[in-house]
Amino acid sequence: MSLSASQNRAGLALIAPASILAIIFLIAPLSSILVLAFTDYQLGDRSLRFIGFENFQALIDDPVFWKSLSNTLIYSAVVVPGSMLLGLVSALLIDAGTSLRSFYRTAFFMPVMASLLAMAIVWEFMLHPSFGIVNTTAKALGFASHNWLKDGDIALYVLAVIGIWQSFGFNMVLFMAGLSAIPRDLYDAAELDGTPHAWERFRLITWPLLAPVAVFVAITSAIRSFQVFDTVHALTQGGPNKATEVLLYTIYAEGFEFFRSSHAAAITIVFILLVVSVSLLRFVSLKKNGEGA
Amino acid sequence: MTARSFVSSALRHTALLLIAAFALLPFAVMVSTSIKPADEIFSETLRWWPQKLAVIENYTEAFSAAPLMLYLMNGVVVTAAIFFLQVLVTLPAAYALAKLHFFGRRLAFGFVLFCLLIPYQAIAVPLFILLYYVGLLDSYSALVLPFTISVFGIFLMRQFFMGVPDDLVDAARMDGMSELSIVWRVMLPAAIPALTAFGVFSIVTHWNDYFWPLVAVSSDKYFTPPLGVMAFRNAEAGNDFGPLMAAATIIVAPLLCLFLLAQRRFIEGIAFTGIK
Amino acid sequence: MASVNIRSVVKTFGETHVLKRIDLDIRDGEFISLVGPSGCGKSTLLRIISGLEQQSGGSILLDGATVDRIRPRDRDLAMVFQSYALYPHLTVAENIAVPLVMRRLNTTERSLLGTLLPSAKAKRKEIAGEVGRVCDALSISMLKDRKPASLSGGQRQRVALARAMVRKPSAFLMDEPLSNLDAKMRVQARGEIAALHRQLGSTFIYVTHDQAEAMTMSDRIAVMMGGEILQVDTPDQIYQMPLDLRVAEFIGSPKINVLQAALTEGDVLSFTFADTANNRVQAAFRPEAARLAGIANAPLAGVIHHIENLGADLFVQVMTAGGNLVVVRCDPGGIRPAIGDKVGIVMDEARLHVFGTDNRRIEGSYRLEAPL
Repeated sequence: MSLSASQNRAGLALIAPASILAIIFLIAPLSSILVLAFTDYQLGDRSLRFIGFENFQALIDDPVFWKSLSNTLIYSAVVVPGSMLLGLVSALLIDAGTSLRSFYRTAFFMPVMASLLAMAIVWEFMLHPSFGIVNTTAKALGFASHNWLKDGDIALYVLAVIGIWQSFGFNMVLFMAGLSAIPRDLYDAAELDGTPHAWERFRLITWPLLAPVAVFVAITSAIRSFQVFDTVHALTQGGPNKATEVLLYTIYAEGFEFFRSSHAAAITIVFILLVVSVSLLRFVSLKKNGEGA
Repeated sequence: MTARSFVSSALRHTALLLIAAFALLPFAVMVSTSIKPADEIFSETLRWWPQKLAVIENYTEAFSAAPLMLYLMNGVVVTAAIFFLQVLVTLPAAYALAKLHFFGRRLAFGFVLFCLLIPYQAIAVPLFILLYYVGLLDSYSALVLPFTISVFGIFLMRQFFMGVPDDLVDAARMDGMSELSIVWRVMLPAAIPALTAFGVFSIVTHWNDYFWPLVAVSSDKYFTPPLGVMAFRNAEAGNDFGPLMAAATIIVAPLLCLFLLAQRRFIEGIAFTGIK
Repeated sequence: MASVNIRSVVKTFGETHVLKRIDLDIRDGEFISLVGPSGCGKSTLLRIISGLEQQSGGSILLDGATVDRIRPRDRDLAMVFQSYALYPHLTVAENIAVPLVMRRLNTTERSLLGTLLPSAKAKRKEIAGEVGRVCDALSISMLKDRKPASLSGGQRQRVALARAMVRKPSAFLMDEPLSNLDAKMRVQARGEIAALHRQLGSTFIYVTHDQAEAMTMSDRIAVMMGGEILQVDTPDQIYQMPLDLRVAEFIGSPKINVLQAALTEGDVLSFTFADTANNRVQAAFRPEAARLAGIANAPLAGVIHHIENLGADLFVQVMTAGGNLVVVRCDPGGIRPAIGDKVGIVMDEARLHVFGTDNRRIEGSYRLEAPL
């Protein structure tokens, strides 16, 4: 047996387990999503019928879907900048000194590690209208108390705050990795060149060199925020009155509570398009950076 | 220390302590409530350390009201099984993609890159239907099988293997190793840092995952920790806060303790897998 | 022990021809170097011999038998890699034992539980003995329990040698094994490898881009360029009778001087009007085959541009009137020339090499044209 043939055989043999599993658990499900979305299939049906774009037509006519999509985008529009800014500020502040670095880093990273579901229940308790710590503190300081999770005007933003709380530590770690890649010499050179202010050094060196990391963090945060589910399912169930209905929750309700599989598949396609288009932004930004360099 | 640097250092710590308070507040509330008797929980005065400790009451109540140990064991079994199988499937594939020339390699790698873009929740519906028809819903298999294939793991390990010198692989071939033994005897030991990072990622992800277990299992003997807390809350109608917070603490503690013991490794691991 | 025969070996990567019909017969017990600039195909040829790479055409014969379809592990060859390729997670002793463990222990015996089997224990003990003897021979016994990361470059290189030696292969393949060492270590290691070859008596095939390594260690040298072997010969012959201008230029330091010349009636070489003559050749002579002289009667003349003092030798760079830089070796004990001096250059006619425009050697005994 020739060498290339034997490498060919070894290569195919080594990827075989992964390929078989990928076919069963990735390719087949992914393709059936595409098929399901154009059928009237419901879980348990013995047959299915192709109905063209009817599911999508139904989505367009469904105010809940639009509410769900816009809620998802609003949630992201709050969580992405919020968690990026807090993550960046944390990273810069930690990096600016030498004392207690690992204490802060560990403290900020704890929310990332803890089960979001368990912590959501803690948040629910903290936001309890009568004896939650948030309202008791607000009252003590003379502010009005709220029923945070039952108020349709603010519930989504409350979930976004929990989202920021949970994810800013992750962004901080990515920013710190980015900061550590900036050569110290540059700061020394800037100081000698006469930029004594920290803010100017930030604008001159840190921000431009951190920009690719920031783009990456933004895209990762966006994709993660599209997947918000745990807090919604545990705390609001999409309510009150659909105020916190988000895409993944809608997919869950359609697919696993009402078993309208084909309808869920159609929403899933929208969800995939959203995630994939944001992911592809990364390649666009990489390309731009590549040309600039 | 000059006055100026003292001021800036004080400002730095003030800001960081504020952020730390925000990050740690829920943990403090959780632990503090878990050791309070009910009357203190419902009082309007804020007190971090209770006047009367109710540690034993709350935690025994938590353990007796729900099989928390079982949920924890399920969490351990499921995450360990997932990671073990992922390593078993991922390493050979990653090695082949990084070091072997075979027909379809580019296609396979392109497929890996494509699948990286798709969050697993997007294929939950057909996965659920698949498991429904083969009768595997509500079992350990339902919790584990869909995650045995990790395109992310393949991608991560393949990138790492690309950096392993070809000479090492060739030396192993000259020394008489088969391609499969190269994977386990040469690549695996060389990949320990990357594998640790992937392990941290995998274990954290699957220990904390809520969406898929919620969909895949319904009997409480298969509940993973997050499902367990949720069931506990629903059963207790969310009012018995002392034991509920005790339960949350118990569920959150194992991973957090591991994290605090090896926080460097965890953070580096997550950063490594995050940046890819 | 083995002879190695390379028969019309061709290697192509897509459109590029890395090796163009290589024929080479390596004798049993010979130390042969494959030398050439990077990209000349020498490493590819070595990898084809080892079986790590598959040739596109032709055959490799070991001891007269073709091995084209035999896997690398079964060819009974050992290889020392440029990066040494030591297993980073294994100790020195474990590294050296790997080839024996892989060959002598079966899968069960190698497994974690298998170590408890009596058969495995006996074999491991035997292997440990052999590893110990090799370590003693290379004086690395004190390193046995260390990991590669804690070793110096020279020590790693010895461990890599030991791992190759322990199998007692019929031939050693070495891919630039000294290129990661510093200059001083390299000279020492050259002597050690040559001594090892004399002691083992096995066939050594040694790839290097460093002509000094090839010259100092080999029985024969194969000079490769552009996927071809230009010349195979003993170091002396390669140096003194290069058959190709590219060989002459590659071997020897400082580089051989090459000048355009015209070959006229009666094998007379002329450096004047060389550019316009139609019987053009390339004349070459080594720095030690020339000396500085007065301008009168010298076939070449110029101005001293730079002097390199290496202690034992002075290499004087002379810029000729024709704009060529010619290097001449001088004795530092003699009269010291100075930069800017106008000098003549006289060559030893017996040590003049003449090459055609196709770079091939033109045999003959030449005289230099007397200056005008």
